[in-house]
Amino acid sequence: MQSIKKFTKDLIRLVESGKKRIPLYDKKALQKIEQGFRKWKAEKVSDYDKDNWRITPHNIIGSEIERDLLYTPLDNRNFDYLLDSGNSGQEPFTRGIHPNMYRGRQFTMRPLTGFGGPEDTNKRMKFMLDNGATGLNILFDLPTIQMYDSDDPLARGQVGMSGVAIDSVEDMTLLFKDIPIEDITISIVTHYPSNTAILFPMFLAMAKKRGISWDRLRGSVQNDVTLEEVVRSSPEYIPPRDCFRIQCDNIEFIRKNVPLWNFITLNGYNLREFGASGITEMAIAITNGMETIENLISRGHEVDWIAGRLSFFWSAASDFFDEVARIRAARRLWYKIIKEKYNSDNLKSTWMRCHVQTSGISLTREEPLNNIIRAAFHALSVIFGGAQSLHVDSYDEAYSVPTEEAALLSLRTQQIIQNEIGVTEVVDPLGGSYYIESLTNDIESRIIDEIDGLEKAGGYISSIENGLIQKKIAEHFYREQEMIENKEIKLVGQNVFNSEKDTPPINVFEYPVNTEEKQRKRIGDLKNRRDKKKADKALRNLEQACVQKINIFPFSISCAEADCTVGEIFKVFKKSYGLWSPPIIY
Amino acid sequence: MGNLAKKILKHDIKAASKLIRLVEDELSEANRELQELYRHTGNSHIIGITGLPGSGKSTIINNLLQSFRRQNKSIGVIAIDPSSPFSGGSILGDRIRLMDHSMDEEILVKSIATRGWKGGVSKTTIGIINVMDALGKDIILIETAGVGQTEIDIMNLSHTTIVVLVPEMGDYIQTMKAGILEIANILVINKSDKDKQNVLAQNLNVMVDLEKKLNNSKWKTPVISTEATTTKGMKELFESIQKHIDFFRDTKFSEYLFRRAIYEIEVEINSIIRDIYSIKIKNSEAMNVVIKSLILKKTSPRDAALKILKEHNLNSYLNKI
Amino acid sequence: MLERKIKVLLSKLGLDVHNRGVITVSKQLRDEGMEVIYIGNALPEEIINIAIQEAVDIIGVSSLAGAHIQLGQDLIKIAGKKHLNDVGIIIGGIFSPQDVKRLLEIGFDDVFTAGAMKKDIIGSISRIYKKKVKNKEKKNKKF
Repeated sequence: MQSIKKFTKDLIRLVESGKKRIPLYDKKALQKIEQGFRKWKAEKVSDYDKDNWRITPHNIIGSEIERDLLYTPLDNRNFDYLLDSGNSGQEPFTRGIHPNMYRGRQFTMRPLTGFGGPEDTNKRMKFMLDNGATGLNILFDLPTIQMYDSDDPLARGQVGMSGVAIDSVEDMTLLFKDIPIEDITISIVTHYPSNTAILFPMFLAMAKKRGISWDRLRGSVQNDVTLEEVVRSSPEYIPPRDCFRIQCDNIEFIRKNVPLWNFITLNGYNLREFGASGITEMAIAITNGMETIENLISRGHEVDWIAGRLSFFWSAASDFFDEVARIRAARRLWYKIIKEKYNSDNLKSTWMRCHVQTSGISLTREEPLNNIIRAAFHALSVIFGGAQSLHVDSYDEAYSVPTEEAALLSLRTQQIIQNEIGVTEVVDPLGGSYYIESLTNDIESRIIDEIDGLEKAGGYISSIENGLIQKKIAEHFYREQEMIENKEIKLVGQNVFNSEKDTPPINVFEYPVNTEEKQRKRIGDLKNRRDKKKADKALRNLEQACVQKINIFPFSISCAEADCTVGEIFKVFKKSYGLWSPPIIY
Repeated sequence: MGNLAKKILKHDIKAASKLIRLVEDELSEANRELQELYRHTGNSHIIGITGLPGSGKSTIINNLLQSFRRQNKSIGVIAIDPSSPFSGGSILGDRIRLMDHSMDEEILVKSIATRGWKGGVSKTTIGIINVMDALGKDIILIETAGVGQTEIDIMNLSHTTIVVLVPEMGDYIQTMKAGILEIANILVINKSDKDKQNVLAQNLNVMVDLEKKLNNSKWKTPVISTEATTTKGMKELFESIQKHIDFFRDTKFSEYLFRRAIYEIEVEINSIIRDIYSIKIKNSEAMNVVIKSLILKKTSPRDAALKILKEHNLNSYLNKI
Repeated sequence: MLERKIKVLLSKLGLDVHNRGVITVSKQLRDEGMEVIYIGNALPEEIINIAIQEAVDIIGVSSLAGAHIQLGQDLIKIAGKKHLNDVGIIIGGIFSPQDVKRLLEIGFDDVFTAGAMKKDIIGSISRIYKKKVKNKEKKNKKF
């Protein structure tokens, strides 16, 4: 029988209230400042500004948090430097998880690669490695991501476009042929727990066959239930509870057997891009993180066993200082949660490691070169926020997969920020700003409130099952569209300051054409060649494991080794768990 | 014979779909075609399914379609969703749950919106049923959402009525109008894995027993627990439906025919009278005169109405139709 | 006399995962008084089959994943084979300027790109409806 569940907000408040605060500002000084402020407001501030002291900025996926005309020490009366801020690399890590942050670091280019068949992408990866890339980021085609084979009727016309087609361990072997997987970091972009449990086993089976021990492999998978059940359109879904269990199964297996691998990237980015505010994005990802930790604790593990490798994936949109403040707020909040709720003694477990990508939905199709400016500002806010790694979206987002030229510009943006304008020489340069510290506090408390709401509504997974999350998001993005159409949200070049000029023609990515045929033939040959009994047995064992609700990962590896295909394995999931119909959200 | 009617009797799906659209839009061509088709109706078994949104009706229907198809039955589905009272528009979201059957030539699904029906059996639903009947459908499934008067009226058109509930509705059932339980021939508790102690099932069984005793009916409404996503309980449900189909044919059929005939005539008469009003009377000069009188309290609404009806030569209109 | 409602079938083309746009458009059309049937991810032949069954006036497909030329061609071809001459077919998504032209050449009645405004989509549907659908109708009087 589980002990009575305490809500996170109450727990944290309890611990925090027990701490002795030493406010930064002297009481007498504050009194004088307050008097002076009132006088200044009465005498120097215009009536218009007095009446509009507080305004709400409107932007795409913005927080709608009100801002004052001017911030002063009065907005941070109780600010305690050591409790609320600390130095960089010091609790509560508001200023950054490392003491020196960006000094001495070079951003690496890790462009997404993946198109055509495994041999096409293999060639491209070799080219990139030869040209200095230290890591690979592999994107799969839609049929593979959605877990259908290349010869499935649903895959028609989509094989090898926008990603590489992988149907079996044979394809995985071809994909990594002659590539030194033990020497580089590989991000295998498997978004969902289900496709992580299908594709990563194939990768591991391939490594095993090559005689590479799993404890040498470094890289990451995404593995997030949010991506599979909330932000994805698909013809078929398995139930959220089973999906979440697979997410935790994957983590448990990978942590035990592939110790250097990052086993989950808690998703905020795609959720927010879909249509959520920055506050909701963080509340959901953090709640997902907590439910995951608790699930693994219930399996007998310690919080430090997984918290040390958990990381987050945020988006950076256009409300500049909001974006800075929220990364700081999330860092401080995560520290409090891991330390004060889960009682971790290991400081590394309390670090909110994050990768941030600049917002794609905030870019426009009109006047695409404007997007270079937008992305640069987004990127700058991430640097001030102190994220571990950054991806800058390309200016041709609204046209197609980025061209090489656009991808290079994204890298140059980061390099110019780092090497030319001096903002990375000083850690957390905005720390101490009356505005930033006030906004950081505000955002942190809003995130905690939303987490509280989620917990009281039964938790994240329940909220997916009954449609609460989807409904909230759908309302948000519908309202956002209305705000764009009536110009409350301004987009330069699109709904304000439009010019009559045509959009300039941009070079667009060309897709290879005969991948589907090749893959079909390959699957056919594979099915003829393989030991049918062995494959059927592996699938049956997997089905049993699913039904018994035990960790399916090892069974999936056996299926991979028996030459089962992606689609065949997914069919077993669908059959065992049944199909889930997401609640209708409109 | 009407162009579409001819094709429909030859099992032309496109013609049937076109006619159903005309029926939906209440266009006069539809009337002529329906008149032709009527004598070819009466062969389908009509199953109504209702329940609150989120009870999993669509998943259940999806399963039932598979079972009926295994018996080689041809099926029509009428999925009814509410129209927005503000804009008059609608998002019809039942079809998306039935995508497994989108290429099956023997399953015809029509998504329609309530379009402000003010209760009472609607001409549209009857019309669509008759088209599907004449097309040769063995089974017609009508799906609505809700447990109010409109749904009860629609369910009265069906031969077999299934009401889908979920365990959380326990308290709601106590206070709910008896109407929906009265018309149910089969009660389904879906997502039943949440009803660990079977509380709702027990309560419903008690009510059902009482009902049977009070009305001395020959059919005892079964209460079936299902978990539609894993097909648990679906076999039992399908068997119950089969049993009720047989029971209905043996004992309730003639009673239904009588009731249905009255409905159909009433609906037509009301529809014709409404049309006469809205087309010939509503915007006429006579109306303007009478309205002015009313405002000045020179006459009463009833006197005014009788006066107008007497003044208009209704026979001439009826001859034109 | 009833004003005839415009019936629209909306679908994701193929396995594309993004549905923010098509859901937004569903609601916009509903708020404009239209009846929308949204079927999620579907193949061209499914879309056409359902369009026939539901006797819709307009088919709208959404594609943000690059397969719009291939699957778009299939869709128009099947529509032609089934003689859906009085149904308007529009497409929305992420397309290069060249592809926008291509899609119109293939036979789509209109093409919408990222950032399309409600009034443009609704205006276009009304125009296409008047041209394609209403012309084929007989006069819809009651008597």
